Amino acid sequence: MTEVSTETVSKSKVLQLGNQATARGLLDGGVRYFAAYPGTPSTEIMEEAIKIAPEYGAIAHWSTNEAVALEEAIAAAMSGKFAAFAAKHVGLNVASDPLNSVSYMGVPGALVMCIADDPAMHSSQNEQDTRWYGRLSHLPIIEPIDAQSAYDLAKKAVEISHKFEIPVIFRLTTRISHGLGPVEWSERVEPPESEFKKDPQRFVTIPANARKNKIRHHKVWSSLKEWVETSGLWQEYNNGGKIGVIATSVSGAYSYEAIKRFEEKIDLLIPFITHPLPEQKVLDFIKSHDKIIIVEELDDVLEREIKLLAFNNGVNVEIHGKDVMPWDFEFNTKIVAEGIAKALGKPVESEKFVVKEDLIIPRPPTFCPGCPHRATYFALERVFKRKDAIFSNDIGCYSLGVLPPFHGADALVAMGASLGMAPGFALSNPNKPIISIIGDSTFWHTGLPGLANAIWHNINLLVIVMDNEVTAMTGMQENPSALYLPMGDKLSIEKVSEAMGAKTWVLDPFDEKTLRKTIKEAAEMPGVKVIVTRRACAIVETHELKKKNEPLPPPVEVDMEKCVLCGICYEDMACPAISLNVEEQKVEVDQALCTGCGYCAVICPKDAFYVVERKLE
Amino acid sequence: MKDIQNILLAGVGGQGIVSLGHLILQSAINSGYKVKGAETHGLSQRGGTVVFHARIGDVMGPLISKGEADFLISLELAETARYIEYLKPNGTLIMSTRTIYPNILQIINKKYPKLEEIYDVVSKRAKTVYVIPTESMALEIGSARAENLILLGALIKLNPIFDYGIVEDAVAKRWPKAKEVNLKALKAGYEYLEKSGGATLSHVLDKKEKTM
Ligand SMILES: Cc1ncc(C[n+]2csc(CCOP(=O)(O)OP(=O)(O)O)c2C)c(N)n1
Ligand code: SF4
Ligand code: SF4
Repeated sequence: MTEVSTETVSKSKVLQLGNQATARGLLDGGVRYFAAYPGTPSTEIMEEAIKIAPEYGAIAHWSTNEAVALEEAIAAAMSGKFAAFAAKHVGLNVASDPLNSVSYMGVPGALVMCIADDPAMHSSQNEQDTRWYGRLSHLPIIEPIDAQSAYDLAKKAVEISHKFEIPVIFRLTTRISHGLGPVEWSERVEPPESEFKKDPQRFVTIPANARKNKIRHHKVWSSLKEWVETSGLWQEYNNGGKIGVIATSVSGAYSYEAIKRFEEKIDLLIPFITHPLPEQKVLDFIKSHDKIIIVEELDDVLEREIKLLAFNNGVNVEIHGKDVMPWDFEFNTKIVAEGIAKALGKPVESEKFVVKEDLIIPRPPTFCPGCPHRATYFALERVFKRKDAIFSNDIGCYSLGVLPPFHGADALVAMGASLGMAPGFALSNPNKPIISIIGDSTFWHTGLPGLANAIWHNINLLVIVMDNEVTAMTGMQENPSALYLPMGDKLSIEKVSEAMGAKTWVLDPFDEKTLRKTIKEAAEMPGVKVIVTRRACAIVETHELKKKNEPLPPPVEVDMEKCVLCGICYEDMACPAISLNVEEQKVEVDQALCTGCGYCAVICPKDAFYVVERKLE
Repeated sequence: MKDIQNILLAGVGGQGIVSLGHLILQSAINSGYKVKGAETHGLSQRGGTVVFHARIGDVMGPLISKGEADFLISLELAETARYIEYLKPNGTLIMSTRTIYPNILQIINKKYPKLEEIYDVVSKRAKTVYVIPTESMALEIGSARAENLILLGALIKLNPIFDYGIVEDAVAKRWPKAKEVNLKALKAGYEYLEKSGGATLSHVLDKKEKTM
């Protein structure tokens, strides 16, 4: 084990996530205006940018949603600024309207759109491949393979965008975004001074101008294509073999390791710009090999392109791709090596060691101890008792209300859809209560048009806004009504819903009795009613106390003389810090997990919980 | 493949796995090695299972494939069973006896596995298994949340890549305020492996009986 290669890395290198390196690369490349909406795995690009923006005098902030964020960045880039935008893959769907129009007109400054895909759907509802957006909107795509290349290529992307006045898609994936590596930074680029210069023929997309812009865009595309041929934006590992692998993104890194596992000499080409492809480079590579294996996660985007290229140029070479590599989920070195083995007609070993299934317990994500959402679901559960109500849910921590012991989600499609779907549910199921559940960030993101629509159509609907005063799911970002808000004055959810015409309550979810009573009452009233359940996310609460150097609330204890093991706390409310010790028949509180929130004391029918002094830390 | 070392860290959200991973990578960098790593973010952090891939040496990709980890460090008992397949057939397992019981088991009527059952399976895969009662050790040190550092101490005792002083520095830099208690935890883990009886299953079980 001491044989680990000791090729030294410079100690001045910083250990960074791909996302952090991307942010640094953008700003070092001259980006001075950056807008984004959070979404795993893209979030830390903006988080890092907010941290370092003061060093550059740059603007970097969260916006209400992705369309708005991209529109901000477009206007900055129209004004000649070097601008950037970041989102997760599905976020680009929200921003796809401005995307597909800005592409024709281009921008005089620079515009880099960092989009992170999520192969394996670690934190997403689908596995869409952003590379299709490059084809749809006719925009270039750049794909880093690790943190260092994320830094270098983010910088390069700004340069290309400015040089060709074209927006650039910078495509990451979970393992690039959340992959760590040492990163070395290079010199900063100072962007030119600029302000908006009127050019309505270019920037006002009435059809007559759009037609001209489209022709203009083709010219830009041809010159970009020509430039790419000599750009050197690829990495080649030539071992003098007759088998060639072409891989992109993190698959490039896996392939680099996988080809070393074969006795055959295998060459590797990793293009960093994948749209437009450096065609001559790829052609030379495929012509000089007998067998080509294309390695890409998600769809067969590159495979189609390369097969077409070979066909158009009369190159007759055996090309493998999705016939040997998986279509679904993420890769690793072993998976890539197995795919290569299949293409070479070699046997693939199967794993003989398996662990008995009953030793592997399920551990789905749950609401944290002290989470306000759990309390709201507990009340909802008591009122509706799994009856016929339809829960139209949304995307946030509260989505976890779908998991036992709660039954708080019957449908979940996209951000804002809890309200968008409401009339569809209400008018198709007139005899069932309809409940839309949405969070504060999502309310501002895409909840507003859905709420207006529901009120306009005068349906019967109970809306629960689970307001934990932060955008929690993605790791505690601000939003217009967030509690700890350095960005400006707080907006009011209740004022908006009242002004739209909905009867509105604001309640503390820990006040279980009032909440339950109000839910019951509101559910019976006609029209759209809104209950805002407001209490800060438990994680934010703890952070704030720590920041202020204040003591954390002590954990609770259980008086087993009083407890009757009714199960309300550990089963119905299911706080992760409380469990039943089956052997000893007693309720136990985990000292490290309990936040001392006290909600268990609110719901225990026997008054068995009490608070003790915290002995630790 | 000899010039790569793969260390997989497994546990439950909130146990400080990402911090542990960063310390391992940073210490390796400070000792002059190339590194790559992968973190878990997002949904899985909410009390779900969490893994961190730490790779040292001539590495390019961030992930450790199944059956290729030289070390598996598991901060939670049942998680050891979930990730044991990642260990090389002759790899080293450092496992905590800490259990974090997911309430879902109560609801679906499933049992949390026993220490002996898990040990039985994992010792079929690992060449050496070190069992460490991190929960009671952390409480003794005075920080319920320092279990991760106890395991780090054990790792550096077993793994010649790491230099104790360099790791200490990295820990002190990361938590200037809680430096003392964290360094204590690191030392406790390191020394636990030196003690008579060692980090064996029977040692843990003996102790359990005595305290009962
Ligand atoms: C279009 C789109 N953008 C971003 C995301 C990522 N995302 C998932 S949940 C969430 C935030 C939800 O915040 P909030 O509604 O306040 O709920 P909380 O998590 O705080 O409970 C975001 C941004 C997404 N799934 N879809
Ligand atoms: S992060 Fe906050 S809102 Fe999300 S589950 Fe935990 S306590 Fe609840
Ligand atoms: S809710 Fe109270 S009485 Fe019921 S199990 Fe919990 S502690 Fe015991």
